Amino acid sequence: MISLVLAMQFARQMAERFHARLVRKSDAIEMKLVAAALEAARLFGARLPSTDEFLTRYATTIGPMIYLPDSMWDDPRALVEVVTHECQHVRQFWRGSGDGVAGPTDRDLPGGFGFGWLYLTQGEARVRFEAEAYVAGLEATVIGIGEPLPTSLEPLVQPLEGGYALNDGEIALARGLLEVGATQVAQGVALTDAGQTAVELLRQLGVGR
Amino acid sequence: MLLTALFERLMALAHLSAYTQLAYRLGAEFAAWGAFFSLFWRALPQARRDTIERSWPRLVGLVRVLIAWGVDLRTAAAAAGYQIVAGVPKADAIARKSATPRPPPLPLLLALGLGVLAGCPRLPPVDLCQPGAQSCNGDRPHVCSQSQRWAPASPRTCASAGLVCCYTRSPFGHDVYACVRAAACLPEGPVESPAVGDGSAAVTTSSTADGGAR
Repeated sequence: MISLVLAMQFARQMAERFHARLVRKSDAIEMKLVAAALEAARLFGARLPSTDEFLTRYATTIGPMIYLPDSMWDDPRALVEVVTHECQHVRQFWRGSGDGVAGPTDRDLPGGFGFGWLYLTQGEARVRFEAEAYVAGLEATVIGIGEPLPTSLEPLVQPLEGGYALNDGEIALARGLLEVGATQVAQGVALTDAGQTAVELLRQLGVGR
Repeated sequence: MLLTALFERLMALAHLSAYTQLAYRLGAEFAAWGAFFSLFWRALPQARRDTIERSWPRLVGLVRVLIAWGVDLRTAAAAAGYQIVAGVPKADAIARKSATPRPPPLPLLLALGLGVLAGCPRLPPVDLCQPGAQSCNGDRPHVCSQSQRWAPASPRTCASAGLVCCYTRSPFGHDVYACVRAAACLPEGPVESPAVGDGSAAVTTSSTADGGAR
């Protein structure tokens, strides 16, 4: 297990390495405005979290800004998992999906404006960005902290089923990507940028295996 | 006399309802634009924000007050519309609104228009793969999406992490293509390669991933 002090240190260093900024969600007026916009979208029938859920249970990243709900700042385990997840989104924002070393292939997704546009308008892109980020979080908790993998795929897929306005086909893609991701995590090697950095930082902080 | 008074009261209510609807719409647009401006503001370095605020303290204060009030005014306008004027409980109003399609709000239309002008980013080309199929391509595992595009399931090549891309058993008991140590590879998958649209995917091995035993 990791202490809150170490988790805070981890979060700060992760943010620094990914050129991100951590903000308390309750301090951000823009998050209340986003919540209002989501509430409006819910009135149109979109599968999205309620205003309360969005503000108290969901971390949100816009560009390099990571907004964390108050409860996460007091939960070291959640802080490690969620900051790693959100840092992968920041990485996607700066550089897109795919291997930053060999360069993106024609199947990788763009960063910058393209990241924001595709994330908001294409469920399939949203699934791909999110699955990669959830795998990064899994790498941090399983490889970095030493937690066991879940015994079934359901706990991994469940967050994507209610909070991201996805249809059944997109959720099926999420299942496939997450199962492959979990299989790779079981090998004990982190493949995402945020996951690799998280594992390295956690080792430096003396956490985990 | 009574009828006239009643009629006037009804008309007043109708006007109030119209204004409330207008306020609601304006509120939603205000919220969207407010979010954009807040984000830009927060993205500026603290020193730059301090300089701007010292130069124009009243202007920045006014914007801050408008944004802070805007959220509450929007909620108040919505509640006045459905609950005070129409006398409809919130739950019923939400159900009615979700059943009634509305035109998209102005900021969304503007964003769409700007996106079209800027040349919207798109998903990669369609590969005509079989939805749910999996493969190793370019030393990275891929899963086929509902739109028949290959989606990489690893952000980097397997070799870059000392692994190989091959057919293997997932921790949840299904067979998948993934980056694993060579010792974890299983004999090849049972299903033929799905069709690949652009011919460049070089998929020589693949299997369906229907979530069940194959």
